Amino acid sequence: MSIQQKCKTIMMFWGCMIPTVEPYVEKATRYSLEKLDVKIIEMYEATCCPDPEISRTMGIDLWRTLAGRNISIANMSKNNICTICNGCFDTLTKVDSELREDPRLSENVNNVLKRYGMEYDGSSRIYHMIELLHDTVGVDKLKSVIDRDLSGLKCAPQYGCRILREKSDLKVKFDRLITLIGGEIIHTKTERLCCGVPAMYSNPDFALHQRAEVKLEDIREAGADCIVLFCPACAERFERAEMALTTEDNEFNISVLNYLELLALCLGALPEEIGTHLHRVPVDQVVGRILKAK
Amino acid sequence: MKKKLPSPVPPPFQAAITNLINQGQIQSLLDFWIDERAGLGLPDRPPSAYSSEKVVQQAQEIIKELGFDKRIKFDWREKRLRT
Amino acid sequence: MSKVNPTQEVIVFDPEKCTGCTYCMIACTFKHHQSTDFERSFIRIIDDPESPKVRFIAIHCAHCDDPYCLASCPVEAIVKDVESGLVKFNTNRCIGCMACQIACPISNPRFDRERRVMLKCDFCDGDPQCVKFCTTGALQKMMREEARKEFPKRLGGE
Ligand code: SF4
Ligand code: SF4
Repeated sequence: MSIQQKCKTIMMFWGCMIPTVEPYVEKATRYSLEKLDVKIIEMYEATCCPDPEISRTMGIDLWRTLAGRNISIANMSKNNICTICNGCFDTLTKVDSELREDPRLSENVNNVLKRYGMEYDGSSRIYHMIELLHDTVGVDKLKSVIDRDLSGLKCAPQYGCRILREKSDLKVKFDRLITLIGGEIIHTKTERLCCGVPAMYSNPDFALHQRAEVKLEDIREAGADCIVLFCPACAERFERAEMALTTEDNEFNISVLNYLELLALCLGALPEEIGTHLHRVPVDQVVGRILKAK
Repeated sequence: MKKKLPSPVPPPFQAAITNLINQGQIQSLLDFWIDERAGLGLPDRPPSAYSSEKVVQQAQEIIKELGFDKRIKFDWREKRLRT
Repeated sequence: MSKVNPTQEVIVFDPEKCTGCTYCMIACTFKHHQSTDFERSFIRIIDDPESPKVRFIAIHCAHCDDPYCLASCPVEAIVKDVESGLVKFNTNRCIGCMACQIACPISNPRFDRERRVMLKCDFCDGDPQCVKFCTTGALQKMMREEARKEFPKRLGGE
């Protein structure tokens, strides 16, 4: 089998949060994809996606043009894009479909891009990491390469608003990915509830108490060992909220792990190698349990 | 003298928008994380606008071409939104 | 039920999809007040007190066929546009008496302290920001006729 056939290639759109505040997720992703024979192509020219809330609200043309520019990098190099962050996924897929459907919009974007020798042509597919793992790598391959599994670790999935979009089957695939590596899914009353990110900048108390706290209490009550997610923004929100809410007699120490960290551990990574010690809310107990499982 | 109006960007959104214009990314990269990235064996600056002045400049040209900077009253000399 | 112009659109909400992220409220507030204080939003997402699971109710103007607000207004500051079906408030006429808020079945018109008039959803000239920015697709624009058929189903009827 030639290398080309054996390896799949994907252009990673890392976004802003993973590389700057959760580089342990970037490391775990690089580790896992290498083990799964997926070759990463860097998008050196990428800017912010930009985010589908603040940037889009403040300047929809700029939002669309910068996103179109990011997508065009993959178009021109004939690559498909993968992103882990729900926000990046939302921006890139929304803009991609807008530009595909409305020739006037794509013409506007291309008029700006052409002076840099760039062109959006809609030829790339944009994957959420859930799809890359579930569909491209495939469930069978994943199952066959893991060294250890989660042995019934109780995982409360945090899907995140933007993948609960209409007709999205990402939720089902996410659940399947958890069970595939031996996690037990703990469904909670609040699993649909937003983590609070969209309201956080403008209404921080509401975001903390009416969203994050409600969820964290529910997850704690349901007896989950950890929260499992893909979205780095939800992760950051939960960890910050746990720190803010913890008092002497009300402690929140629910580990918040990215699925890719769990996957890397199941694929044989050592915790220090992927930087699990860099979490704000310690994840040692959960990691210790996974390492003991064989 | 004509009084210059402040930026219409609401205060809670100002940091993100200022970062987007100055760095091409809404999230800043702190020195702490540059060290930790290197410690993990990752390139110390992420492979994107975070490590390319050229990319940031290109984003800034686009911002100007679309008139976004004028609309939100960005002061290029001070590198911040007008207050 | 009166026959309406088939091109009329309304906003519909699906509680099965809403995650309570509140960005619709922020987008609305920004559009109408250049602020992010979602208390001033013309759409409100509130907890459904009757649901054991986390579930939300959206309170937003229905641009009624036969608007109570319009009927109650003493100075004819409210008009229903026959073409678009939109119920519009004329802030030039409004005296801020709040009769419309009392009359509206969902108390949708709100007194704006800064402008000292009643304000409510104006459908953002056909491109409602709440729908555009909804993170999950819970809010959608629909033809009024279609919404009429869809709604009884969602409420468990035919
Ligand atoms: S304000 Fe109330 S009564 Fe008036 S059109 Fe809207 S929903 Fe109907
Ligand atoms: S934006 Fe959509 S999902 Fe978020 S609160 Fe509003 S209706 Fe619900």
